[in-house]
Amino acid sequence: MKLLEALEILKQPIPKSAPQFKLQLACGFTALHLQTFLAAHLQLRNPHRRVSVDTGLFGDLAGNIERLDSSTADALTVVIEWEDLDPRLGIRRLGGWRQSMISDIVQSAERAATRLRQVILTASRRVPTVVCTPTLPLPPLFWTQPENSGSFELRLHQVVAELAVSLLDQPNVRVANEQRLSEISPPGQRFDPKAAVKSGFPYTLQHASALAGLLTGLIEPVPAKKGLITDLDGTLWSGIVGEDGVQGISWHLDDRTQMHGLYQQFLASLASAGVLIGVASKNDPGLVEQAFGRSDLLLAKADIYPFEVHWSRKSESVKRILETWNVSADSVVFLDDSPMEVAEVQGAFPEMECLKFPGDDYAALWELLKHLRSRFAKAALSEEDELRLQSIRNAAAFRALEETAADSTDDFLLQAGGRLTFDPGKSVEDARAFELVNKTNQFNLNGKRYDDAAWSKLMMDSGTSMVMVSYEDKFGKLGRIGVLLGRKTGKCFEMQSWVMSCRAFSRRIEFHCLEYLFENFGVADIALDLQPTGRNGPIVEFIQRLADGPVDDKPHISRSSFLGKAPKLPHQVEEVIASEGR
Amino acid sequence: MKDDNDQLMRCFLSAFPSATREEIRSAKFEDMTGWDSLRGVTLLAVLDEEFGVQMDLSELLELETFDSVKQFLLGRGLIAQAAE
Repeated sequence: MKLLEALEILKQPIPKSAPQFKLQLACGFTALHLQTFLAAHLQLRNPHRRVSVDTGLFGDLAGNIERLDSSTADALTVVIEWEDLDPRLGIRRLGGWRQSMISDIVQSAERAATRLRQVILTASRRVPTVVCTPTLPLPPLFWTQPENSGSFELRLHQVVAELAVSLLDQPNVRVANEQRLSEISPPGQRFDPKAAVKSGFPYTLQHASALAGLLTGLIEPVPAKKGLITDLDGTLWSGIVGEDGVQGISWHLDDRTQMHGLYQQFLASLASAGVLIGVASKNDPGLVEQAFGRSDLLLAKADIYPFEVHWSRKSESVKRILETWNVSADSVVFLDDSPMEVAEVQGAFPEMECLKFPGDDYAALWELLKHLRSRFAKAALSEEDELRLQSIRNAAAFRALEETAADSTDDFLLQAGGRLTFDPGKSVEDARAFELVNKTNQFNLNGKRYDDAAWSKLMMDSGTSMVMVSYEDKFGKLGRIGVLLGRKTGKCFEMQSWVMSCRAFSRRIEFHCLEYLFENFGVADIALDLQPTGRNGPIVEFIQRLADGPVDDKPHISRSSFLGKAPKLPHQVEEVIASEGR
Repeated sequence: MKDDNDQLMRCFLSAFPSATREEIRSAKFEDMTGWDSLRGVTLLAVLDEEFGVQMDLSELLELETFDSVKQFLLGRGLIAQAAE
């Protein structure tokens, strides 16, 4: 983005009634064009709000963080440069570069890093925080050759690395990735010494723009994709299993087919991070079964669910996989080595990202793996990421048994041995509730989404209650599958958000949730901020079944109505407060 | 090389979002709505990015007006005279 473009983006009129997003930018230099670029990138991310980026005093990074007004800031971004650790590491102050001083500069940097750590950790407990460690080169003050890393220089880098690692203990903190920044802003083209001296702004415009773009991605990350559907022949392995045989397909260096091994290794990595992996292959199911019996395969059969292996169209396979996963096409990536298959699936699912596996082009594969990593990137992994695939398998087994069971639904659910846990402890550090509220579509009271800042405020609001719902039965653990959010006003619980994972449908968990609120919050009435979204049919139908009157305007469910209409509740219920142990 | 003065006007309008075209054409920088030294530094950065001209704030202030900046850029062949 050019500076002129950024300024013009910020000139666009925005209605006075638009919601505000206020970023506090803490840096020790004059924020100037970085402030402009950050505001423009954030504005582009969501043009329907009013973005403001506030800064602090020149040369006082730690003080600027300490003075942060967390009651008004939605997010904090801290940009550290070397001179914030010791002014002698910049060029605006002439404190001396004698060799006898270098040891003192390093010690001073250590002390400054300790103070920065304290103030950033304190601030991050109140507001989501993004931290960028020094991006500019160290000045030429060391006596070693430029090609030679000296101990003082390395120690300074270590101080910064230790600071960054220690900050990541706090879940509300994200740290900018220097490797990624180097790709978009070469280190040799970042520093503008003239501007640093004359205006106190040390960045070239290109660097300021690139850094602002990267920071925006950390302040407001793009939602991660959920699943990847892969082809087999020519993609997961080299060769055609139906022609070359199970031993004829390959993915190793010796066979010059290493790139398929890299791809397998990458998919196994994604699977271990909770990404759903499915297979869509025009193939003989028996041969594929045998191929997955090979012990040298880097992606285990257990990492994949479901397998769609037959001779029907790929788009039909993809449709069935989406149904099994119960996710939308725009949250999935499809990969195939055949341009024709890619085009066929893309035609059927325009909103899906469909990519061609890049043949023997290693550079293209490298770019593809980096691209996929960014598409599936998450800030943190949770227990639910480990459980996701197993829980989808369990849900499929549950549905299959339910359809064939001779018993009544009551008996079937009783025999499932369900155990429900309600956790009314709120914690801003627990990302699962935030994730569930922001990604659930079908059983979602109103489709309302929250950004980091709004969520942090809710979690810190003493009047707001949140209950996390977990479930397991004899088919396995579904983990934390539901969130209830609202406030008690007199004898009424005003529910502002209610979401439940689709994997937990058909178990009457939603009835248990209402019973829990009536019993444990001691209320006689539940008011629901229901808003049809076009995708939340299941919850609308559920509320229609129980509500006192029409559901078009903030429906209510009274305790008496609930008791009269609810079916038999089959599960064991327990209340725990897990956050007390955190 | 830019082929008209519109780009120059875009630069000024962006750096001085509260100023009108008429004000930009007629006023001295220091008299423009919203002028301060940071605005001046922003204008210098935009002129550098768009026309490759490097000036100090003091040099910019010596030029005083939009028209003087235009003549300065014309003189260095960084913009062309707009067709009448």
